[in-house]
Amino acid sequence: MSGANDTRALWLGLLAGTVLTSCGTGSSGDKATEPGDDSPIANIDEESIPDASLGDGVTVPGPATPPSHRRQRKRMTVPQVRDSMQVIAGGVVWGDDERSDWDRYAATLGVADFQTRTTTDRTPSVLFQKFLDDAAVHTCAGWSAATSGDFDTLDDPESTDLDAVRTGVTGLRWRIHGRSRTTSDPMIDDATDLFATVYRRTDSTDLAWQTVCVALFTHPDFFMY
Amino acid sequence: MPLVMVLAGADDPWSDAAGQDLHGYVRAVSLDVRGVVPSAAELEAIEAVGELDDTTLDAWLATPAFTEIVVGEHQERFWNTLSLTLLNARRLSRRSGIYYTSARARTLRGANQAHCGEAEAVVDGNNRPLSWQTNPDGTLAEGWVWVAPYWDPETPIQVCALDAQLSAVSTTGVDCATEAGQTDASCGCGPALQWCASNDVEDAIEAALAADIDHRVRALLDSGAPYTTLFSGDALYLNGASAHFFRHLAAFRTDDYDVPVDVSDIPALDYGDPSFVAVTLPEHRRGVLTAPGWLLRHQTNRGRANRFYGGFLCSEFLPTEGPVDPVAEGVLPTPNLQVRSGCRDCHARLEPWAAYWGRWAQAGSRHLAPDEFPELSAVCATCADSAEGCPDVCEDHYIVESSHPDEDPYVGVLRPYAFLVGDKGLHPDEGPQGWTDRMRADGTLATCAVTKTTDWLLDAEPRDDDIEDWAAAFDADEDYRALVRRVVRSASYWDGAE
Repeated sequence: MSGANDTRALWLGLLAGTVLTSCGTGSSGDKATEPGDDSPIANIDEESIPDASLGDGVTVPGPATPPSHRRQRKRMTVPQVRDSMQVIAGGVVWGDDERSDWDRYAATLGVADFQTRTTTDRTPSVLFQKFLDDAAVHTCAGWSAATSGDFDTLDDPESTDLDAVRTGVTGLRWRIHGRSRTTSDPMIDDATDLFATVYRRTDSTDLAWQTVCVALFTHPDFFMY
Repeated sequence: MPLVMVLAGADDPWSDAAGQDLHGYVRAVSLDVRGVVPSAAELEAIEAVGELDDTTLDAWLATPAFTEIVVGEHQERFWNTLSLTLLNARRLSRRSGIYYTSARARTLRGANQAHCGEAEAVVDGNNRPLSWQTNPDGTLAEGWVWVAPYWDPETPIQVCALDAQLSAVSTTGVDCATEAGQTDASCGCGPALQWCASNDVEDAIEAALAADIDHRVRALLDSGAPYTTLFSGDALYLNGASAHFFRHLAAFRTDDYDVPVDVSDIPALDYGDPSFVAVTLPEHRRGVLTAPGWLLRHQTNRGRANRFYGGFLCSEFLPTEGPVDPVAEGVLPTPNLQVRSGCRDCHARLEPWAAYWGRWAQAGSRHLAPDEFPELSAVCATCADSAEGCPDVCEDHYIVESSHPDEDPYVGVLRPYAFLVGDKGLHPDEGPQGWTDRMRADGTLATCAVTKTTDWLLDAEPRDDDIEDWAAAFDADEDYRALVRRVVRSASYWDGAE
């Protein structure tokens, strides 16, 4: 039983992480592509491309110059993530009744104790994202299972009607990312595709919605503000 | 234009958050001032109004959650977490499930670490053993008794009988509630073990002393008092654990601790009572920079000055680059660090500032009162040449011999006063309030409070004119809540701002 749950959690995390972390607000919603034998990427002769045609590329920029005087995006603190996930998910706690796992792992996540560590790590590190992924899988499962929660914003959560799914995805993004309910948002396309992919493979709208939920919680639009 | 150039600009969307829409702004304000995203109902209400109106923002700034956020922000300035050895001599350890004070084992049983054994003791009404075994090494093993400890009266524990002795006065007339009782074998931990502490008790006391500082910040927000009240306020917050410490335990290390208020003013709280009660401090103890939790967290006067300098004046000590002047062979370097090459870059300022804490024990929280510790002591000035030698108080607190010609004028002087020139010689008597008064007067305290707050809220360096405007306003109103409000309503925080 536990093994089945682990597999399910892995499935949710992997799918959600793969599909949505590659897209952000205002992105064109490009999908991650696995290069296979027949992939155009596999057939490129890199030597044949003149350097000039490569352009500057789309890369993560270095520090802005001159330094900005405007508010910079910050990663949520551990208490902010803990409390926000609980508020959004109707009180579902990652951990047990006595203690949130966010508190249990606070030192590991670089929360200052003002003895051995006097500054708090606010980087969106791999470690942070690993724990966020664990928390999201747990929270989304608990949230969707709660009878009194507001996980389902649809009249029929079992529906696979495209418009209904898009409406549901928009509602979840509004709740988790706090973004306006705009169905033309490119991320809605990606999340709807994710729902469809999971539904096709599992025949479960439950799992599909949980995967979308995990994807939204692990997206920077949730933990960066 | 290459996309990378756009991303690296001043309004770089990868990092710039001031250009977000209303939803992003509302979410950021909620996270910054309450630590949590808006609820669904709040989001809907704001969407209906089309703005984060003043009523909503003010309501958020009035929540306990905002207060706790500010408390957390100030923990990053005070570093008020304690992890100490408060009272080694009175600490109860456990062996085979039986508690004893290992530090008193030599006094009680004749050898370090000697334990009472695993047999139940035969004792009188004061838990004095009526019989005991003598071990081959000559130590005593008197056995144990059941005791209901003050930290958990419902759960009796086994305690070595000699440690569990109840007497208020020893067989030789020593007051067992004092340091003198430490070395008297007929003194124990007293009723309900009140003169001793377990590891958990020590942790609880340390947490309570640290939390006093949090409560001072909380009180500032709750009362709306001026920000600098933090450095001059007359309240000390005690709960059951810290009240127990000052009433029953501090007296066992008088070199390091004293009771900050009259013992009769310590609130009558059970040890386990988690509620904090304010008591009024005397004039010389006012302000957070002489709080026991601050003094014990930053154990040296230099450390205290350094943390205040970084946490509240936004500066740090950095030596200038370049080599240190070589010391001539056979020449002893001056002990005056304010002028010594390689030291003076920092210590020319650090020494006089550290002297503001000159009347507080280092590695302790005791006040060194002028009547007991005069600036100049005739006894300490001459004791080194006397046949009796120097008393402990001279060895511990005074310069009793000159180690260098620069030190000659200071023999017999209380150490913190040495090498202080001009008005700086007043620093120990002014206390840290003298420093905070000066920094308030020249605006440094206000400017740093603004800088720390913008670091927190903007994570960017504001424009100089913004800093100046906010610092001037904060200097005038000293309202920390209003300062936060100004920043989150500024165009630097959100360019859709008013």
